[in-house]
Amino acid sequence: MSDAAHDKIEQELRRGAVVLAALSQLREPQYGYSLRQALAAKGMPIEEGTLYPLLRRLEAQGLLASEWRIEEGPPRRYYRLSEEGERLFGVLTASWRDLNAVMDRLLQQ
Amino acid sequence: MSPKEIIESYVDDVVLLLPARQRKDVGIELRELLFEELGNRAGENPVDEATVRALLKDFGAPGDVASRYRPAGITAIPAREGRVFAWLSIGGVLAQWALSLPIEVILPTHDDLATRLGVWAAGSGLHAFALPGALAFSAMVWAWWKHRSTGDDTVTLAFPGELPALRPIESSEVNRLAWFTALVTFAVSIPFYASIPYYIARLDEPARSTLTLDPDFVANRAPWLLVVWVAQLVLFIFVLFKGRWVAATRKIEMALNVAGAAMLAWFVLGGPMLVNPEIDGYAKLIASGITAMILAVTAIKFWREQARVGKAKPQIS
Repeated sequence: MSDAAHDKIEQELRRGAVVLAALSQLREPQYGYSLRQALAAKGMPIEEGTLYPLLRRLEAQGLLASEWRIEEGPPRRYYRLSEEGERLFGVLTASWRDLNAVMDRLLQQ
Repeated sequence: MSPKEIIESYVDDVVLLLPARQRKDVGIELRELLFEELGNRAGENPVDEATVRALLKDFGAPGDVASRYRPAGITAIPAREGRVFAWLSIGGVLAQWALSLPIEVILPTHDDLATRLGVWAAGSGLHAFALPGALAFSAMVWAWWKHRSTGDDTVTLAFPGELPALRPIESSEVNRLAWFTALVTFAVSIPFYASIPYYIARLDEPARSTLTLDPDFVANRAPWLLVVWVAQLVLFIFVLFKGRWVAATRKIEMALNVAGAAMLAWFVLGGPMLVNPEIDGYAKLIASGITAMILAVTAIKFWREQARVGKAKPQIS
């Protein structure tokens, strides 16, 4: 199997985690760039071309709420979890922990 | 080309592929985020064109980026049924050809084989392609009906497995070699078109009397065509040197298109174009068609221009 195929499988593995990672940082309002920096600082770098459209899709699904703000510098669109997003974040967190425990057991065998 | 121009052109290309209601908002946000990413990449160094292009290359081709902004869409033909769909489509077309071609060739409807084949190709041969169309149409209607019954209005109809096309980072850039070739051809053809009355006068009958232009048309209306062509040539040469379309050149092009359409309408309504009334009628029909086409293309360009992000400001709540 080629390196490209390996990369694709690894990307698929990470894809599911990206949504949960983004939701985890949006309990406080963040705009796209600050969210990317926050995730990268905690060891979860996500490509800008993936993260920014994802925020819009999550908002369209009702999981995020957003608003434009002008504070320092240019106007920025801030995102935070909606009520539905908070509920889903709780569900996904529980699922992730269960899955993580299972995977740990499987990988130790 | 400045980094700002490159980013704005790129954002325009992305948002033009998004639903109209999303364009302005996504465009402003994407533009600001890209400027911020660019500042981060450049650090203390001055921002140059290479850095911007590297950023945009990493971000993705506009079509791919627009796809990421769009919701997943409805699957009209699920992957598991893709093979069946392909077999039904190809097999159905081949089966229809296998039935209709021998009948058309054997039946003595026309004397020569080439004519029979031509009749078959334009008739039954072409109609066979209706089957894949009907299958796809049925699949889309079925998928849409299922989508309606779920009540989820965040998805749009789309075919699965659509491969992202390889697109340039920006579509506003011009291919200089292709443009140069086209412009030379255009420039050379202008004197040729201006000489058409001269050449018609030297044709043998009946071609000469059939194609002779009306003297009033040649003297008063036709020269304005050259004025519009020369203006377009100057504009295209400017774009060639600039290397890309910008807002001002797009507006000038639209204005010249409208002027050209108005001029063609004047040709049609302002009296005969050719001396032969029957040929004049055909010429005016063609000129009317070209006028309608120019206006339609200009209207589409105008609509696309309105969607560009430019200096748009966000709606602060």
